[in-house]
Amino acid sequence: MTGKALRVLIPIGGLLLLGFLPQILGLFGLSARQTAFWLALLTQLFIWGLFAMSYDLLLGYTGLLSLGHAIFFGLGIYGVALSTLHWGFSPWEALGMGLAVTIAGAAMIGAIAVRVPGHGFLIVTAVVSLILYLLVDAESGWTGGTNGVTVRLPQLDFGLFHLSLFDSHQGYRLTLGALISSYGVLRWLTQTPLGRAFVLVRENEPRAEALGYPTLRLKFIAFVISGTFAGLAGLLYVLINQFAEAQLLDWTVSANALIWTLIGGSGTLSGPLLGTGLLKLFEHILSGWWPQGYPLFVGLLLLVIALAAPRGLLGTLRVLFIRGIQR
Amino acid sequence: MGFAALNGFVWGFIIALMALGLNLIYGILRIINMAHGALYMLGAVIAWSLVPFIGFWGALIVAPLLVGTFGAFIERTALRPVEGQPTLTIVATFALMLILQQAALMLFGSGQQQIADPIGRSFSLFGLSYPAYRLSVALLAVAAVAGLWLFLQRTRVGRWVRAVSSDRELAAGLGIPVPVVYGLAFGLGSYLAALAGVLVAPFTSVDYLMGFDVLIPAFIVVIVGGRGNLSGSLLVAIAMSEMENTLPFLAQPLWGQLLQPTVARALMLALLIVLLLLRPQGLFAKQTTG
Repeated sequence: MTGKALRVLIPIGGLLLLGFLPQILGLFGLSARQTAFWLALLTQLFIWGLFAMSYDLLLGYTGLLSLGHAIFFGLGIYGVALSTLHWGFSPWEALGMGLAVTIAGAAMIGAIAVRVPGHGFLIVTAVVSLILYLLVDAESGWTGGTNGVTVRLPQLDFGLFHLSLFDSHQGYRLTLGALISSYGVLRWLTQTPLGRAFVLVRENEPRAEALGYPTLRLKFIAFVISGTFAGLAGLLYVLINQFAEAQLLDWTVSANALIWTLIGGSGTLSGPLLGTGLLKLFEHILSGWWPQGYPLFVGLLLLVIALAAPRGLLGTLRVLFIRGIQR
Repeated sequence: MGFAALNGFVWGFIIALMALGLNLIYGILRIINMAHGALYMLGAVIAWSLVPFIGFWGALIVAPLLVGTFGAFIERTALRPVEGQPTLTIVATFALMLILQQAALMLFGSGQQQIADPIGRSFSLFGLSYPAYRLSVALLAVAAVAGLWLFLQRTRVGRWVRAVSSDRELAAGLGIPVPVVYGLAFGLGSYLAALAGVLVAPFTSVDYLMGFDVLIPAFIVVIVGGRGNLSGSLLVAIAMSEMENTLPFLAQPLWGQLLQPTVARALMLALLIVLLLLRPQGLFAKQTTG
C-alpha cells in the first residue's frame, strides 16, 4: 500500500471509528454505564486535545514557546461562567461573551508579549498567567477562587434540536464535532500562505524580516488565533464540566499543553492530540496504583524526547515511515 | 510596615541569589534554567535532612556544595547534548525540574517541614523587634554576592568565565577550556540557588514545591535587571521585593484598606511587564559582565 492511500485511509477510518464509537462499544458488549464512562473520558480528552492542538500552532508552527496558554483556556471558561452566574446571560450569549473575552485578551496580551525580544515572550506569558491566577484567587467572592464555582448550563438550543449537556453521548458528539472542525480549520490555515509564513518565522526570523515579512504582526496573528482556539477548548470545558476553578489558570495547565505537544510531536497538529490521549490514558492507569509516579515518568519521557527525538512521537514515526518508503 | 520593609530586604537578597545564578547560567550557556527553583528546593530539603547530624551551619556549607556538584554533573550529562537549541534546553531543564521535584517528594515526603531558627534571638532596631537570624541572612547573602564578584573579577578562572560570556569562539580560540567553564557556570549557579534555599529554610516551610514561588520573580529580575548584568539583578531584586512587601501598606491611603498580598503581587508583576515594554533590554543593559 502506498503512503498516499494510507494518508487518506487512516484519517477516514479514524473518523468513522470515533463517530460510531458509542455503537461500536455497544457491539463489544459494554453496558450503557461502561459506555458512558468511556465516552466521558474521551470527551475530556477531546477538550484537552483541542487545547494542546491550539498550542501547537504557536510552538510547532510559529516557534513561540509560551507558558501562559492557560490564560485563554481560563478566559473562555470564566467568560461563560461569570456572565451566566452574575449577569444571567443565556447559554449562547455567555458563549459569545467567553469567546469575545478570549479574543480581546489574546489581542491585548499578544500585542505586549511578541514585542519583548528573546526569551521575554516566555516570561511575559508566564507572568500574565500568574497575574490572572492571583486576581481570580483574590476576588474569590466573585469568582469562586480555588474552591471553584458551579455553573448550570443544562442545554444548548440549536433551533432544530436541543443538545442536552448532561447526556454523555451528546457531550461526546459536541466535543468530537468541535475538535474535528477545529482541526480542519487549523490544518487548512497551515497550508495557506499565512500558515507558511508562520513556519518561516519559526525557521529563520531574521531572514523572514529581510524578505519583507512583518514578523511581529505574523507572531501576533498566530498568538491570537492560537489563543482563540484555546478559548474554544475552554468553552467546551465549562459546557461539559459545568464548573470553573482558579487551578485551571495555573501554570501547570500551560505546561501540560507544552508536554502533550512535545511528546506527541510539535508542528503536526495531530501529534498533540496523540500526546494528550496517550498521557491522559497513562495518567488514568497509573493513578490507580502509583499516582506520584506520573510526573516522574513525564519528566523522564520529556528528557528523552528533548535529547533523542525532538520531533516527538508522531514526527519521529513520520520520519521513519518516509525513510521506509524511500528505501 | 517597618517589619515588612525589613522582610522585603531579606527576601530581596534571596531572590537576588537566585537571579544571579540564573543570570550566570544564561550569560554563559544561553540556557533558561527552568530547574533553578528545583535546585533551590533541593538545597533546602538536603539541609533539612542534614541538620540533625551536622547542625544548621554545617548544612549551610555542605548542602550547597552537594547541589553545586550535582548541577555541574547534570550540565555535563543531560544538557550538553542540547546546548545551543533554546527550545530544547528549556524543555530539558523543565523535565529536570519535574524529575527533581518528584524525586524529592518520594525521598522526603510531601509534608511541610521546618528548620529551627539557628540563632533564636531577636534584636531591636528603630523600636522594632526583629529576628537576628534574618538579618544574618542578608549579611551572608551580601558576602556571597561579594565573593562571586571577587571570583569573577579577580581570579583567573573568573576571567575565563567573563571571556566565554562575552565571546565564546574567541575564548575557545585563546585556549580557554570552554566545556569546563560551562560546567563551572552551571555548578556555580546551582550552588547559589541551593545557598538561597538553605538560607530561607529557617523562616519558610520546606517542601518539594517551594521552588515555584521564587522561580518567576527570579526570572523577572534577570530580564528587568538586564541579561548578563549581575549588579542590575541585585538592585532589581531588592527593589522588587521591597515594593511587594510594602505596597499593601503604602497603598492603604489610596485604597482605603490594606491591600491583599496577592493583589499587591499582581500589581507588582503588571508593573514589571510595563517596565519590560519600556526597556526591553532591561533597565541597566549597558555593561556585560558575568
